[in-house]
Amino acid sequence: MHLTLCGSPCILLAEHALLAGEALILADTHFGKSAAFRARGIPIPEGDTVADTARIHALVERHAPRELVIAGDFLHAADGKTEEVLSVLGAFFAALPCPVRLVLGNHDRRAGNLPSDWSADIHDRYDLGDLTVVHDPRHAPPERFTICGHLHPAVRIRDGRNTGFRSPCFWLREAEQQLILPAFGTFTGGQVIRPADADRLFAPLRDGVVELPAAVL
Amino acid sequence: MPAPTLQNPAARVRPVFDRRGWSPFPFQEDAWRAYLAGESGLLHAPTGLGKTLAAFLGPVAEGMDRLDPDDAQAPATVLWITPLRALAADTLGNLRAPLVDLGLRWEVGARTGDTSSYRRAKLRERLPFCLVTTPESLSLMLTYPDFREKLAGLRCVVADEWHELLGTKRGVQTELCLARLRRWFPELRTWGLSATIGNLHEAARVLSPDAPLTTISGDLEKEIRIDTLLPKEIGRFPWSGHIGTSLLKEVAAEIAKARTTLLFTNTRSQTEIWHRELSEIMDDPGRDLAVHHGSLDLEERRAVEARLREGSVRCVVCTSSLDLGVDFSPVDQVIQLGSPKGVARLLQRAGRSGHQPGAVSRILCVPTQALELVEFAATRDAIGARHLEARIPLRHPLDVLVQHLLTVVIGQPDAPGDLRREVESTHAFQGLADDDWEWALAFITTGGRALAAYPNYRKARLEDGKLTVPDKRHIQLHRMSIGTITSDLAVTVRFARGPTLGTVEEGFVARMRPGTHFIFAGRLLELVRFRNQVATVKPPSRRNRGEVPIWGGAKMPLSNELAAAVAQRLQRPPAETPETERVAPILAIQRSWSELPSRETLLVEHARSREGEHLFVFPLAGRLVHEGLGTLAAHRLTESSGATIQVTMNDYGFGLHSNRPLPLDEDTLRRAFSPEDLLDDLLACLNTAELARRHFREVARVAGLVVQNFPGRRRTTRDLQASSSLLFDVFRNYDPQNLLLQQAEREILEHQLELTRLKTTMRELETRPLRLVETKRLTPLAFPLWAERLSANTTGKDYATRLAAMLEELEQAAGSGRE
Repeated sequence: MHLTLCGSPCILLAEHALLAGEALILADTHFGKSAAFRARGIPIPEGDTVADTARIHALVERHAPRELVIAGDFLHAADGKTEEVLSVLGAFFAALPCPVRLVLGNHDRRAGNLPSDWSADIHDRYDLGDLTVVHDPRHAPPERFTICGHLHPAVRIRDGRNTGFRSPCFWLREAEQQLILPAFGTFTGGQVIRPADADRLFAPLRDGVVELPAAVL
Repeated sequence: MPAPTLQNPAARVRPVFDRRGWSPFPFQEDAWRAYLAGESGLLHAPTGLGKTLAAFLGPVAEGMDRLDPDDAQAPATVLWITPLRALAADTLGNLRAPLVDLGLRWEVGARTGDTSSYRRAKLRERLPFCLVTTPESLSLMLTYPDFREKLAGLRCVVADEWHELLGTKRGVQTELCLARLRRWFPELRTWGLSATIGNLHEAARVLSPDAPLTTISGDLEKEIRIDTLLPKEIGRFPWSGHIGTSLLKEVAAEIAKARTTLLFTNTRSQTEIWHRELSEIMDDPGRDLAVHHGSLDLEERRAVEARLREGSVRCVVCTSSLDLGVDFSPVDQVIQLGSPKGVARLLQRAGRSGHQPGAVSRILCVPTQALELVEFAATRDAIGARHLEARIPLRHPLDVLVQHLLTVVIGQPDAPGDLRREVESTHAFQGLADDDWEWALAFITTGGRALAAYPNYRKARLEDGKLTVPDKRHIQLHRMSIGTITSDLAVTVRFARGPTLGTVEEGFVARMRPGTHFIFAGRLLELVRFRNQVATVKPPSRRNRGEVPIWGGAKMPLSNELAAAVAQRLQRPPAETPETERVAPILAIQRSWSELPSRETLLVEHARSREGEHLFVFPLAGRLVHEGLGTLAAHRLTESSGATIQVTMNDYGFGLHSNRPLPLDEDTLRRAFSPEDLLDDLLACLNTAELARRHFREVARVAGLVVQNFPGRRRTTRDLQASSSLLFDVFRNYDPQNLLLQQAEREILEHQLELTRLKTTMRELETRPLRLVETKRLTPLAFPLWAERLSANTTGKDYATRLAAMLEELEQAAGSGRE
């Protein structure tokens, strides 16, 4: 799905990511979430860290972006920063052919610092031409078009038969000049949003992304 | 020399009866004698017949021989397990009263989820003579290392309303707790109190697998009368539907005649609708009418219950939320609205009136559609013949097992071998497979058998040959998550500055805009905003009718016992009962256009309409079985032809609808209903994975994978939020051998589809002669199945497929020039 955001050509990707010009943007990976559960005594199997880093690698390979921007909540929690998780992430960083910009999210701030030998480039907000990436839409600079994460947007799709279902979505808020990305991490949930009438919603469907007509909402 | 009480317990407790001018029932005296002889037992009698005194006065009489009557610190002797914490307060009163009558200063206390932290702290110091508690609170107490010491004087444990717990995970939790108590105190006597159910002997065996229980019945000592409010003109009475307010005026007149009425409905939505309709025709609904159902706030419900007890409300419209034991003496009329669905259920509801010993229990049945008249008559038949439903006990629910294992080793480190013997002493886990046991142990220690999948995980660990949980944070989290009751994600409804009214399903509120009106808790409300799972409401700015929320959950099927009774009743002369006499003209139409279904034959009607062809099949086996059977038949019939078939179902049969010709030869139909390859075909056509995903919530919660949010605890668990659907995916991807996944699938097959009943029905159908009838018009039995086709089910597909189909439909509609 192609969109032009504030004059910049963008592509919404079914993998819950966005290509803005030559930058690949994704949000809310929440790495180390299952490790945080285990640390607190809840037996959730590991596997998401490797799977999600592999998904990012595949995207980078396919689209060969000039940079990768993660719009916050890269990590989930302090007790999820186990050795296993950090070693997978360290190898992931080392193998990336392009620079990574980490925009800090609320979870990242609580999770604490990253190992100093990683080449992560850390920001509170990151500007890409006319676009700005921040984590929380409430912290978006008012005069700019902003790409955000944080909300894990999902919509409830109604089929008129009392058996509606949920789908993650891209949420384009016209009035606020914001595009909210769906969460990227496999082990992250969605929050049902309440869009305004003028807003546009896009859902991943099989290999592509489709715009959701008001009739299914 | 035996103590004097042993010979004559009745004399000892006489004052309790004398003060009320009663005399003990024989079954009560039997129970006391049996208790004093050291026996355990199961007592069954209708509600309101003094089961409480029968169970309690035995231990009291015994205590009178050995305890100081003035000792307020008499040791913990009786543990009283009640299924509902809402019942605890009433039970407390019922247990205290006889002690007062007997001049005993022994204490009775309650420990439930509702108990204040001050009281809980007190109970941590010392337990009263009798402690009333729920299975969850009992489990919680097992996590405290000194609980065993505190219980040192325990002699008797009572499982109240045992039939309510049997067949549920809370029942299994109770079994496990009992096993622990028995291991501590081998002399412990167990008494179960139960309403009458179809499998009392099994109920007794589950409660006490090793020592057989004495079964004592007070069953014949209560008279029950079932009357039906007959519609005047059956010709105008609806053939389908379940909301049916056509008898509203007559019902209001009956309410006006009685002092206090309980009006039972089958669903929460129906409760709200009838409350609204009644309040429009009653003189002073504010004073005389109230509503009670499980989604209302606890305070609201308490207030209504208090008004019932005082007799200051004329009528309460309610659901099964008022089915259970609370004693509302002023209630002198019980009305059942719509199908009773089960024999025991109607019996239980009838028992809500005439609660005083000796009084007659009366219930007035109100049909919402014609065929329910037959169901009322059939229920009376089944009660007369004592054909009541069984509650099938659960076997091997591993989610409950892993929760309980952690519970007990937190309280007291234990060797795995001893623990296993204890667990296997319960009915639920008898003969537990080595594999399941090993898995459960792995789950609580290293996370799972696939070790690599759970790096850094350690919860319980083996120290000196004993399992123990050393981390305080783990203990705390476990205590918070004890319990097996699950509820759907709910939205709290409350006034901006004012009380909370209760909860509705997220889906209902999510599609409403601010300003929308809806009916809830018997009030018309206007939505102000919906944020963070709270719907803020206010009284409406203008008057209109408002929507009524629909709560999810499958419709309750007609029980097998009642369905059999209906089948028999249909074949009897209509003049035999007032209900069938009134519905006779409709039955006559059915007979002349087709025939009346029975359980000896299989009736199949074939009809054509403008929309296409319809097959209506009537096995009379209950809604869930028909759903499975119908879906399966549709799948098998379309496999070869490629046509699409819509399926509708109700308690009498199912309908297959297609715009192409449907096969009518007996061989093809027989193959469609054949039990061969049942499971494979079901798995293929129902997408059970999708159903299991939805069901995983309960399993995940019981197994401690879903951390509930508690007010004030938000911070500590904020990072541990994950939906059960997400957890399901994570397990499927990274630990597909996890037995909890299999359990979810098994439970979905059994609960959602009643697989056992489905199999039995299909085997039986093979032997029934097929009666294929061509009908010119829709018969009274076919009509409801035809009317439902608009909401025919489309479950089972994954969301991408469904979304793609919907978008395609929209495009087609747009392309065909509708705009």
